[in-house]
Amino acid sequence: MELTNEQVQQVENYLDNKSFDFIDLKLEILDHLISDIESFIDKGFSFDNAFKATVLKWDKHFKDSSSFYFGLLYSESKIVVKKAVKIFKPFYFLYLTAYFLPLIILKKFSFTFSINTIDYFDTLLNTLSVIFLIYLIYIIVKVFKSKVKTTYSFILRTQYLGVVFLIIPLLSGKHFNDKGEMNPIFTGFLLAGFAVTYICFYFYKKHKDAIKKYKISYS
Amino acid sequence: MGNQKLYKGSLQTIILKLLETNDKMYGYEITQKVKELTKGELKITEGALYPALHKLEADGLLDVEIAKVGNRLRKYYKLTESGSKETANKLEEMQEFLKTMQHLVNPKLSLE
Repeated sequence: MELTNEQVQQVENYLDNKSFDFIDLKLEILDHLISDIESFIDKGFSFDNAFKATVLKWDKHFKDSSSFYFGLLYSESKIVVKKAVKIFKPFYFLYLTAYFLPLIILKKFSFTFSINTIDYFDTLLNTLSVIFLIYLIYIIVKVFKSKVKTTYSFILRTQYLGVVFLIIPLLSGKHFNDKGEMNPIFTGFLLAGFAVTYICFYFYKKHKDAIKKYKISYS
Repeated sequence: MGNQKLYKGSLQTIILKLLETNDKMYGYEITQKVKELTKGELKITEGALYPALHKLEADGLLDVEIAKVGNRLRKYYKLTESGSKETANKLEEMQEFLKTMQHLVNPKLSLE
């Protein structure tokens, strides 16, 4: 038996009370909850009892949860964190590779550059860092100001500390030591910073796409 | 109920196979179909189903379609072109796996 509009609203209120307002997830979770309730009603339950039984089954999915991938400070409903982890995992490894690979290579092998090359690279890397930093800050501000939440905006909110990776080498201004060798730590920081910028660019695009897709559906 | 852990690694293959057979499906429908086909032996929880669906969607193997059904919206999943190819690969892998397990667990029943 199909629920009435008032009953559907009651189910939606339950999600709102759980602060479950992720636009990319709400639609299908609401549909699943309603389908569960309808199935209980078909078995002879009253709406109130069917609703209670469904809530009992679903409550655990809305409990606050966090993940090692984002840091324990960032928590959200378990169902949101699970989706975020599944999507973010490959990017987390990109992040680690961007930091540790140059670090290991430059510690093992030393590459010496001439003064002219050093000047050229210092200017190039500093310019790129400034451009990426501005773009990263722009995304962070946009996401923090946005009233619409998606799983992607949750991921983006956990990435803002990544600006540190760009700021530290930028403050030093030099990516080479006195012998003309690349600084392994700063290079690792810089590439991790570039990786964070790419990750933020990717998820910000996903966030905007999700808003477009689901806002049209809701309207 | 059987051992749910044994099925865990096959969830994506199960979803892809169902979508290959049924064209388009929504989350609740997938859980019910699996329950029905396995006579209640396998119950996919929401906590496992949605992350798996979203990963397949993010990987470009599933496409989504949103439709109004009665007084609510419903999100349908269907295979993309690369999803169809991946389904064939996954099913082949699964057949190989089952064959190997058969050799290990019950060699006398193995055909080869």
